[in-house]
Amino acid sequence: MNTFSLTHLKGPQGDDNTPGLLGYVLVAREDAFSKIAKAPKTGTTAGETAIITDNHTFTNADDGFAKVYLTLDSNMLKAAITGERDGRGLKISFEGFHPGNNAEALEFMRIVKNLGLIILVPDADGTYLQVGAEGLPVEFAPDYDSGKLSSGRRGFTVKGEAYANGMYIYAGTVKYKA
Amino acid sequence: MASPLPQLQPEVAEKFRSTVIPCRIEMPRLGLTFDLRTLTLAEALELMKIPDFTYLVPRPKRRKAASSSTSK
Repeated sequence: MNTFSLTHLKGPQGDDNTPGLLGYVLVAREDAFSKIAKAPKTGTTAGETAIITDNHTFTNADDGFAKVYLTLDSNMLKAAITGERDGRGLKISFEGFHPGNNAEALEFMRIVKNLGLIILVPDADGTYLQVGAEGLPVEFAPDYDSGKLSSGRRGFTVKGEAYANGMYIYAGTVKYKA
Repeated sequence: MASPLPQLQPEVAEKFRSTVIPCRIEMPRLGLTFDLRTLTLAEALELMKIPDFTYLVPRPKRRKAASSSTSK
């Protein structure tokens, strides 16, 4: 099959199509990987080029994805078209809320603002969408809010941005940080 | 501050060596989630049947005391 020929797209036909994301995100530094797997550029079956099936590997034995809790229903992933006619790409934006201001969160957010990241975002059905790729990492901008005595909530609103040519499912092995 | 490194369960460590520091691992394609730190030997043997499973490698079998080869 020619990758660039279009295929029929069916409706859900009974499959789950739950909106929203699970209450966490997996985060790893771009420079911690020894190999950042990519989806194939061409394929023989429909959809093959949108799935990363190879495994990401890390340089150090104790490295892996860090699981960051996000408040349920605070996180969202969007991708918007950028560029001009005949040269379009995607700007992916991610947002979520991590509650609290304990020492680990303060440190994490201080460090992460100056890093390139690869993140795996689990959709409500548990499929990982990968945001960030080699050379096109996600950048996190964590905004802190103490909240007020009478209202609001204390913690970090984490906004991530990345540029990409498309959205990809990650189906390889997910190794957590030891 | 340094906490001891995570380890395999002793029964697993007897037969296998971990190629990474034991941690949680997900294999979404196969719908598997497991933790190398709490893995039992039976589970480890099942995982070893997966072709691209690289996180455990069998330990080389200990050679029995080579008494016959050294004696004259």
